[in-house]
Amino acid sequence: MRVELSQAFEKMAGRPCLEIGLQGPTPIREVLELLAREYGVFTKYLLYQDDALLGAHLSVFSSGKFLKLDDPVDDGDTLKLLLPVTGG
Amino acid sequence: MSGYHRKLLRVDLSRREVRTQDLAPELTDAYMGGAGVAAKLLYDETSPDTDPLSPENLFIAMTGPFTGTKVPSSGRHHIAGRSPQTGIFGEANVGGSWGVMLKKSGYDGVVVSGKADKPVYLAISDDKVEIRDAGEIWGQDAEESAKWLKSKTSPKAAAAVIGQAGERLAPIAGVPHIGTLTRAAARTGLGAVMGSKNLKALVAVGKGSVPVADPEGLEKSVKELLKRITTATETFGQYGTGGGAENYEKAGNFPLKNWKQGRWDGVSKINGVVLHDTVLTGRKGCWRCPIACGRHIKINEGPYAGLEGAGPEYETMGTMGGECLVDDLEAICKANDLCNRYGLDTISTGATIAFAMEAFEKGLITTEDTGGVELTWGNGQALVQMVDKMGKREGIGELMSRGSKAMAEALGHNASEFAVHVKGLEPSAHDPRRFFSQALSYGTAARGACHNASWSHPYELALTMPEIGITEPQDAYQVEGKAAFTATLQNLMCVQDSAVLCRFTQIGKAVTVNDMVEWMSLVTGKDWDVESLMKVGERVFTIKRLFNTRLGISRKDDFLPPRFMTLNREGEDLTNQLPPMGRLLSDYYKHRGWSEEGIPTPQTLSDLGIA
Repeated sequence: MRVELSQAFEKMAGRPCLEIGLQGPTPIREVLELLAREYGVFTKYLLYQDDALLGAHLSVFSSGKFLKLDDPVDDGDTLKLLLPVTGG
Repeated sequence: MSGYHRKLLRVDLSRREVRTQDLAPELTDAYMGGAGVAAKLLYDETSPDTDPLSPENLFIAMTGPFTGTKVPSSGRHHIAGRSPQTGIFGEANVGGSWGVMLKKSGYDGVVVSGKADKPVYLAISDDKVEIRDAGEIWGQDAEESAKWLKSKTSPKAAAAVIGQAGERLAPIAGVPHIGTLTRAAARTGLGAVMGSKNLKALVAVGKGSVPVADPEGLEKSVKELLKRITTATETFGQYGTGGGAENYEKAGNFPLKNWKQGRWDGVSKINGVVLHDTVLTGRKGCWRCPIACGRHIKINEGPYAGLEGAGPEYETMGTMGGECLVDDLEAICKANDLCNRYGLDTISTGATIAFAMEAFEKGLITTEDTGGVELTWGNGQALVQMVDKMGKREGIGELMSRGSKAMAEALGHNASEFAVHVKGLEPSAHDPRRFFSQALSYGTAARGACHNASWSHPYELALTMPEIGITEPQDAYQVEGKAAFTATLQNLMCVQDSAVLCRFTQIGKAVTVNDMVEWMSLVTGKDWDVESLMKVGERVFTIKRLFNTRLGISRKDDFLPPRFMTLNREGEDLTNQLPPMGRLLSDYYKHRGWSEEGIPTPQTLSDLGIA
């Protein structure tokens, strides 16, 4: 699966996108754990067990939708990892 | 009851008279403080005949029970008056340190009436309150004026001070607040209300304390919560309110080309991350706020070299950047700085310039009107030039400083079709076609198109608040239940604005309603629960609506502008939809106990204890 990174994450990872392999439909929670294991540089943005707290640090976006921890994705999907915002 | 000094400062500028008045417990029991008490006072003490720029209009600044206590992120206060921009209820909420300084001076709020015969400022220093001559700074910008005001009072003072836009009665003039940092109570033109009274500034400095019923209990509770807030807002604080502008552009929430365009790569050049990596020199926090989302910037090179001060917020990036398609961050910083100095609302200013760009494109205005400026999409230099003209009310800037509704009416033809506002107020940078709660809140908020009235789209993304019935984030396009969801959050935001507490403490669910209940009980010594707290919120929201219904506002005014009702955004990955406002409003009125015309019924008012 292709994981596209927004500017802040791109800087941390040193590249604009990452690739990970999934064995069938996988919840976002596990995808983020996989990413944290493989690319520890932005771990602190990924490992939250609560949607609200995760949403304070990261927006997981795919095909026009914001995804929650239990939402499944598959190998053919493209994920975008973005900084959240709440306006000002 | 603790949490209050029980003292309101009453200032009649026509008589040059200052007196104090008791802040009655019945009033704070029902309306808490901040926005609630300000709304009730404005409702009771003005009439439908009160012209916004007349001496009879009031300028009200109110703190809440949290202001000046150890409650984190509570260094805020609320201002209110009848709006010269919209003609209806006007209000703005602002951070910084002014509210705290007022509270530490021993007052809960200030109510200003009348008109001084020459420019003055109000100096509040503990028990000493004076009306002083401001002739020397009349005509100067807000930042320069604040320096002078501090030199005449105290370096620790905070000034609510208007710039030239407010002095010249620009209907979109806000009130910059300059203390330890610059913040703006920008919306609805209350800077012009100050200008109409010849009131250049209200300056406060105080050393006193705020009575708290259970200081040890509050300290313990706050200590635990501080960790949660700090953890939850670490990313937000690092990159500021504009940190995720890219995120909102991808989602279809970020406004583009006067709300017309689908996608735009330019957002990658003007967001909070770029600002962080280029011009940011430091973070600034309001009083006792661990989040510190304020930006301090400095530009060292290029046409705006030498600029140093407060950086643009997300809303400013959205209106001056996205809406105008300007991808020049430094031009946006310059335009933002000019707004802070002239005292202009950056949202209405940016949105009106975007409207003018479309009018220019359509040939409704030409370079003859603009004084030679090519007002084309993406022209950062033109953006800066227009802000300058608006601040000075010079040439076409005079018309533009009245906002997009008034400008559209003056231009005629089909201009009203692309003037994007509700009740005369331009929306902030959140697309109601992406979040239906935003659509409903823009339609029904007392001051017009305001995202802060419900601050609900985060609850359509990730947040929950089970104690008020929000157990799951609600789907953004779900119609069923949207009315109750939006109204509940509007009520909660009224509580926050009355207490007073920053919206951003909700990030990551750091502060919950239960925490607010606990703090209210610890601060005031009165037993609060979720129900009583939310009832206050409902009452506050309703009294604001009542102010407007007295002026003839009803269902006809609650719809969104044509651009949101009939023109959808299109582009890769966008899921935006046109909000079904008829159904949403119908459900909403029913939920609130309002008539089908959108007017609170006598039964509803009776249930809320509003006479």
